[in-house]
Amino acid sequence: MKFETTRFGQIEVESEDIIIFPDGPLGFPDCTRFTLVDEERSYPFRMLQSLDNQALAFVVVDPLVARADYHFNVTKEDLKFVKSDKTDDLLVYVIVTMSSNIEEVTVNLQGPLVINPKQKLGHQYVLINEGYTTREKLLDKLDQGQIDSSKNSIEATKSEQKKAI
Amino acid sequence: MLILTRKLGESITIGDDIKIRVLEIKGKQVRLGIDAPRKYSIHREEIYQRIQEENKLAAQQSPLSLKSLTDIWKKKK
Repeated sequence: MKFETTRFGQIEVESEDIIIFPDGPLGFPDCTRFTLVDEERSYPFRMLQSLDNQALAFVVVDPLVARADYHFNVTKEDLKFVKSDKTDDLLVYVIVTMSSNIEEVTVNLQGPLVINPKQKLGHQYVLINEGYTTREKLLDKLDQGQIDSSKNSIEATKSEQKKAI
Repeated sequence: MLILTRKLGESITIGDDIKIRVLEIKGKQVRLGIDAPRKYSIHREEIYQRIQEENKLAAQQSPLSLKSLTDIWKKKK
């Protein structure tokens, strides 16, 4: 399928590479279809390009790049958003907020994007008690930041928690 | 807006499947317990808004290219 995008022009996307965010990222409820695009020499940063709004694209990165110890807990109920019953196969990305000043580039560690590659489903989670904010400096702790793909950044807790606000 | 007065321990129900109970009242703070199916996302409003705003900010075109970000990141690593 061909899609027009502002950033990449016309792109060809196989249907298996389309990730559906049924609720859209927060603030973009009408943008449900996305695909990951890699720019040349830009690893580990990737673009999450909307296929519903050609101008919408997020810079995303593996959160372990920013914080080697990044992790959060999810319940079995939480995992239903991406139709999964275990966290092993899930991918986690966080959105990068760019800035003209590199020191001011931040990552949103409080609103991670969780993708189930098998189901092609994604969901943006909102973390409450994990101690992360929406604006954590990317370069601050890079010295400790390493990608360790053997580590999974989410842990499932079996108990279903009641939400108390 | 519908306005209801509730005492400690009392609840309101919304539709067939949402129940909100007043669990604790302490000074200006109220603790609410919410029972709802998972298809509803429940968030503290200010956190929800903050993430929404951050998404909108992140969606803007950046003067900094991905390539220069990557180059600096690699140097720092």
